[in-house]
Amino acid sequence: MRAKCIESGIGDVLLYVGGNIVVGKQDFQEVRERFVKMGFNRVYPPGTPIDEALSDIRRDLGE
Amino acid sequence: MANYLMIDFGSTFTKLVAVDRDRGVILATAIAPTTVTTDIRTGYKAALADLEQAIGRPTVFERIVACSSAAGGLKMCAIGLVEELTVEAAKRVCLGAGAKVDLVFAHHCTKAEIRQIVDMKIDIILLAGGADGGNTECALFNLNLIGEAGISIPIVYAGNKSAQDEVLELYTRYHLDGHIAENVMPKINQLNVKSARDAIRDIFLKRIIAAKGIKKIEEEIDEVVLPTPEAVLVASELLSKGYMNEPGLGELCVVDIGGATTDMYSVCHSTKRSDVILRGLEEPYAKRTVEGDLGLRWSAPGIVKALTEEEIKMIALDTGVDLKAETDRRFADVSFLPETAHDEQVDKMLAEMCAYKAMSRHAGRMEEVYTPLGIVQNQTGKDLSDVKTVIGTGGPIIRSRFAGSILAKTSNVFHQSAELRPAKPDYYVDQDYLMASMGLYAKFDPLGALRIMKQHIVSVK
Repeated sequence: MRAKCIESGIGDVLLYVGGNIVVGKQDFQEVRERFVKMGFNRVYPPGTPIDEALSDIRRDLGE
Repeated sequence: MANYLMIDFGSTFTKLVAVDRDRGVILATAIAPTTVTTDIRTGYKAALADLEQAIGRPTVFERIVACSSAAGGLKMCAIGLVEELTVEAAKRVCLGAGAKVDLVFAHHCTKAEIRQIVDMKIDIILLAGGADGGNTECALFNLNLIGEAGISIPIVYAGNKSAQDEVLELYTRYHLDGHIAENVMPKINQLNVKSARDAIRDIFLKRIIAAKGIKKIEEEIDEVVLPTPEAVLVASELLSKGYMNEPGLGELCVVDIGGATTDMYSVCHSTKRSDVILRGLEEPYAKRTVEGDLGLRWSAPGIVKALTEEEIKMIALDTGVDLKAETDRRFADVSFLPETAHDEQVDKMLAEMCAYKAMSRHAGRMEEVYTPLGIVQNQTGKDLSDVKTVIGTGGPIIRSRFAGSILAKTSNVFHQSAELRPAKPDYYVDQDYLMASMGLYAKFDPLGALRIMKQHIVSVK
């Protein structure tokens, strides 16, 4: 994902992913590492409150 | 009567093929050592004398054209941004143009990497990076580095079109031998080969063959028109697709084992299946890969390097062959020809390893992935499992009594289900070494070239 952003000239864009992003029960630490490797800045497990992601966005944008 | 003469200036041998167009037959073939280090015309004239003797009369040729991989072939450096995207696209364009890709760089280059371009005597640089409308910064950074280093090697810029104006300014500022082509990856995962390949071919014909002393031959013949591997690719595509009412052989692979490299060609679609998801960069219909570490003489040590210590010991136990000693011997004497049954067996074994490994790197892979929709097959690269025709060319296959056994190593002999190799192909040999010449002849008479290949490429068990 990050690779495609870099080629598209938006290599610095923040990428967030969360929710039901894998099939079945999997160790979330491994899932997180997999998505971080793909270039995501933050990875959230299912059931994460939306406010948590919103405050991360504010922090990451330097607000 | 219209006679045509095709010449293939190889790194070791100059091969001549004379065709009688009216009768659609090969008049004669001849071969002599390539003499590019002294005067390329000497070897050509020696082969021509043999050819005329074989024909039995002086022959006038309507056209005389050549392809060349002499003097190291076409050595290229591919530079892109992300490894699996524009770097891979740039690499594939170079290979499709018949080049050897001796250097590959991703992201921002370093000054040391730019120095390597000079040290390795690269002929042409292909500079890519960024989808159209995407990143321009990286390619411009790299071009500035090249400019500051004062490099006079021809450069083809085939990156993001939005940077073309700035690229032209840098060409002027640094007095670079610069050329512009369409982006090799205009959209994410979309491969655009033709424009950059044409630009490379143009530079090869105008500059590189002159720099390598090959151009001299144009005093004797009409012209050099292609790098040899591109001529083989043209022939492979023609033989696969057919021409007008003359059917081709359908989807096929060609394996060309030489002293220094093993080239693998496939002419087929990426997949015929509707139940797979294709991953990664688009695959070319006619694809070439070249393995610079797999060859029977100059690159023989590379075959050993591709094996583990355990595998080398296993081979020694199974066959009694000291692989390291045998490959060192061939590397030390590249003109070595098998003299005993043992030598022949070792060459066969090495050729089998080259064929196996080169196909492993050429063929695509399949992986099962679990998704909310169930199990999904993810495919990267080309699926060759339905390819029914595998053709062998190059001296070590053509001259071997074991061509069938060597070619069989391109199929899925070890039942590795993830590797999408030809499943049950039939094997053929380009027994008269015609493929490159027919790639040239196809320029004038595609139907004749196709029919000649179909006659001379024979089945082996």
